[in-house]
Amino acid sequence: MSSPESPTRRRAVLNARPVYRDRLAVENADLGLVAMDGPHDPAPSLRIRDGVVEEMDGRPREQFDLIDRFIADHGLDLAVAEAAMRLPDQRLARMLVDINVPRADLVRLASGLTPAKLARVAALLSPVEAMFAARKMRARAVPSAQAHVTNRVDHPLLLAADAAMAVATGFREIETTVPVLADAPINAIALLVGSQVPAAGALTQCSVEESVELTLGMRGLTSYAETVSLYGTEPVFIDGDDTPWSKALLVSAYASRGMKLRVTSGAGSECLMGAADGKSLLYLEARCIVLARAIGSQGVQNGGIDGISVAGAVPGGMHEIFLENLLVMWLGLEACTGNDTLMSASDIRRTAHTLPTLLAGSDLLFSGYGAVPAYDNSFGPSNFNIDDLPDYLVVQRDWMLDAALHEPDENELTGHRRTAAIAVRDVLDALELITLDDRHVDAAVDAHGSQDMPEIQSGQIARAGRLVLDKGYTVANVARALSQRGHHDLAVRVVAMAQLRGDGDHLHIGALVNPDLTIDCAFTAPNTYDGPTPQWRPGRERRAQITNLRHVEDVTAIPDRFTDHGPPWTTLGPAARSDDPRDVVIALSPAAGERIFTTLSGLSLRDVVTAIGHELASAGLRPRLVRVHRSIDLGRIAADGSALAGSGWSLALQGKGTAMVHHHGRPPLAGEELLSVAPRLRLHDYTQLAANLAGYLHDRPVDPVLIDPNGEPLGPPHHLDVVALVHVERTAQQERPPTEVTVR
Amino acid sequence: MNGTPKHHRAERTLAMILAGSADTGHQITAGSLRTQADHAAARGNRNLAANLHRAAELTALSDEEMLDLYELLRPGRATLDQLRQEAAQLRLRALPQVADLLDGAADAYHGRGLA
Repeated sequence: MSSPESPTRRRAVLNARPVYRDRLAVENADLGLVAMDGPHDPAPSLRIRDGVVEEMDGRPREQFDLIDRFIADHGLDLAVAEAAMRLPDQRLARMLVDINVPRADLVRLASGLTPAKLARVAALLSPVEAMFAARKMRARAVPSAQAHVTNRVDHPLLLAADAAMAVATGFREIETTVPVLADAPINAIALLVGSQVPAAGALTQCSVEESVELTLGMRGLTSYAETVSLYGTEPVFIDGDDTPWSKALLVSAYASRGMKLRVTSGAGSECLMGAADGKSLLYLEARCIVLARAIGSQGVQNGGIDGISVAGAVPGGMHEIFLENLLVMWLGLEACTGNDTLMSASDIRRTAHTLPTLLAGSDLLFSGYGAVPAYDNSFGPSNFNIDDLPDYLVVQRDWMLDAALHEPDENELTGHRRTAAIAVRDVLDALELITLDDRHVDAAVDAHGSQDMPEIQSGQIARAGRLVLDKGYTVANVARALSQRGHHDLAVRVVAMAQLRGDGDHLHIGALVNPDLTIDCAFTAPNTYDGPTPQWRPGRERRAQITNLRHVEDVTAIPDRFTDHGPPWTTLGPAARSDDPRDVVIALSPAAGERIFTTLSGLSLRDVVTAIGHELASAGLRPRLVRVHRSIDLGRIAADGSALAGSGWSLALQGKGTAMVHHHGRPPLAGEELLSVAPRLRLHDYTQLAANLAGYLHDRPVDPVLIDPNGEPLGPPHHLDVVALVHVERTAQQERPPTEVTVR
Repeated sequence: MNGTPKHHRAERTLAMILAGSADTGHQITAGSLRTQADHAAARGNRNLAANLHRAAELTALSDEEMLDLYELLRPGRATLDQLRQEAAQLRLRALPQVADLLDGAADAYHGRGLA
C-alpha cells in the first residue's frame, strides 16, 4: 500500500496532467459558487397592479434594488408578462426545443418573463437541448466571429498587418486594447486602416476607458463598442461606479454617435467582487441579460468573459456558461458568446468549453478569438489563439459546420499584410505622428508576434496618441492621408465605414457589415431555422472554403512515393509445392515488388526481402520468393505461401511492409507472429522475424519482435498511404496461381 | 464593394475631404435614429426603439454635455434636486425621453439612498 507521501507511479503521471493546474471548488451557495438552481435563488413571481410591477421574483416593490427597479419599469412587456409567467417551467423549456414553436413566439414570451423564471427554465435544458435551442434561437442566420488584435508593445504596423490577416481569415469584428492608455488612438487608426485592406466593412473597436473610447468613436476612428458592463447585484454596480440608469445613458450616447454597441456581462463577476448575494451564477446572469434588454442594448457579450474561471471551478459551470449565452438568444438579442478567455491549462478542457458553441452556432462565436499569439494578447490569452487556427480549421472541416473562418491564400495574405503595414506607416507619417522605416514594414509582414519586431523608442506611440487627441484628428484626416499617399481605394473604404455610421443601419440586432457594405442583421438576414434540411448546411462555395485546406492531399497522387523505384522484379514461372523440408516461402502480395517498392516506414522492399532471405539462409533454410496473386489479405497470402513451402512455413509480406509468419494448416489469420505496425518497422525487425521463423520451425524458444513503444498517433499520418497502397494492391490482384519471383 | 451606391457616395465624400471639407458624413442625425427606432419598434423590440429615441435626442448635445450628463447619473454624483433640475432643463431643450430617464433615476436613487 502506498502512503500519501509516496504516490503510485500511475498517480504521479496523472498528477502531472495540465488540468491539475486548474482549480476546482466545492459548491458554496453563500459565496455564489453554484452554477444554477441555487438554494437562495428566488422563486419566480410577478404581481402587476395598474400597469405597475408590485412584486417580482419574491421581492415587493418597496424592497426593489436598482436592478429590480429598472427591470420592472422598463424590462418587462406587461402585455405578455402575466400569461407568460403562468406557463409552467417545463412547458417553456419544451417550447425551446420544439421545432414547431417559432422563434418569434419564444422571443415575445421571453419579454414577459422575470430573471428567476428565465434562469429556472434554462436550467431544465440538458447541454444537447440547450445547443438545439441555440440553433433555433440565435438572431442572425450565419455565425460570425470577433477577433482580438493586440500586441504587447502596441506596434501599429504589426496591429495593421494582424488586423488585415484577421479579416482575410473571416473575422468581421476586430477588437483591440492597449497596455498603455495613451497609445489607444494609434491602435484605433491601425485597426481602422488595416481591417479594410482585404475587404471592406469589418467593424473595429478599441476597448479602453469609457471617455477615451467614446471620443475615438465620436472621431470616427472606431465603429463599435462592448465595454459597457452590467452586473447582477447592486453593490457590484455601485462599486463599478455606475447604475442601470448611467449605463442606459451610455448606451444611448454611443448610439447617438452612430456606434454599434453591445453590453458585457457574464457569470462570475459578482463572485469576483465578493457580492454575489448568495445567488447562483445563472440567476445573476439572467438579471444582467434582462437588464441589457431593458436599457435597449441590441446585444450582449457574455459566457464567462473575465469570470470564466469562476464558472469553471463549480460543477456544471460550462453548462451554465452555455445557458447564459442561450438566454441572450432567447431574449432576441445579438449573442456574442465569450470563448475569449483561456479557461484551462488543458487543451482538452478548453476545447470542450468551446465546441458546443461551434456546433450550435451563435451570432459571434467568439467575443475575441485571439488573432495574435497568446503572449501578445493584451486582453490576456483567449481560449483560442492564432497558433490554434490550423486546428480550428480542421475541426470546422471535420464537422462541416460554418464556424465563420477560412484559410486565406498565403500569397494574398502576405500582400494584405504588406499593404496594411505600408498604409498605416504612411498615415502615421503624413499626419506627422511617428515615422517608421521599411524595416518595420518588412518585419510586420513577416512577424508572428511583437517579439519579431524592431523596437520603437519608448513613449513614441503614446506621444503620437496624445497628438491625435490634441489635434482633433478624425477619420477625415486618416482618409485624406491615405489618399495623398496613393492609397485611394483604402481611403474610400475608410470613408465608407464612417458613412455607414451616418445611416445607422448597423445599430440593429446582430448587425454586421458585409464586404459590399450591405448589412446583415436580425431583420435583414434573420435566423429562420426550422428543422433538419440541407438548406441549413454550408452552401457549395462555403463548403469548398471549409474543405480545401492547404494540406489536403489527392490520394491518387500518393502512390508515387512508394512506386517510383521499379522496375518490377523478374517472374520465373509458376510456383510449385516443394518437398524440401528446408524450403521456406517468402510470400509476396500482388503488388509487392511489382508496383510497390517502398514500405510505409520508407524501407526498400528489396532490402527487406534480401535481409529476410539472408537470415533464413544463415539458419540453414532455403528461402524462396513467391508472389500470391489472388488475394491482398496478408493471412491468405501467408496461407497460400505455407501451403507451397516444403517446411510448411512461410513469411508473408505486403507491399506496405506488414509481415506475418505462418504455418501450413493453421487458419489464414492465425499466424505465428505478426508485424502489423508497418510505419514503425525497421530492417532489424524483419531480420528478427525471419530468425524467429527458424526458431518456430526448430521448436526453439523465441522472443517475439517488440516494436519500439511510441505514443504517437498511427492512423492520422499513415492511413491515407494505406488507402492508396491497398488500392494499388487491389488493382494488381488477379485470379491466377502463385508465381516464383526473384529480386535479381 | 466597388460599384455599389455606398461606394460611389464614399468616393464623392473623399473628393470633398481632399478639397478641404472635414465632414465625412459619419455623424448620425436625429432623423436617421428615429427612423431606425421605428424599424426596431415595428420588429417588436420596444427597448431598442426607446434607446434609439434617447439617442436621437442626444444628438442635440455636444460631446462634453453628453459626457457631463453621464457623469451626473453615476452613483452619488448628484442630489435629488440636481437630477430633477437637470431633467427639467432637458425637457426645455426638447429631450423629453432623456429627461424621463433622469427622473426615473432620481426616484430610484432616492429610494436607495444614493440621492
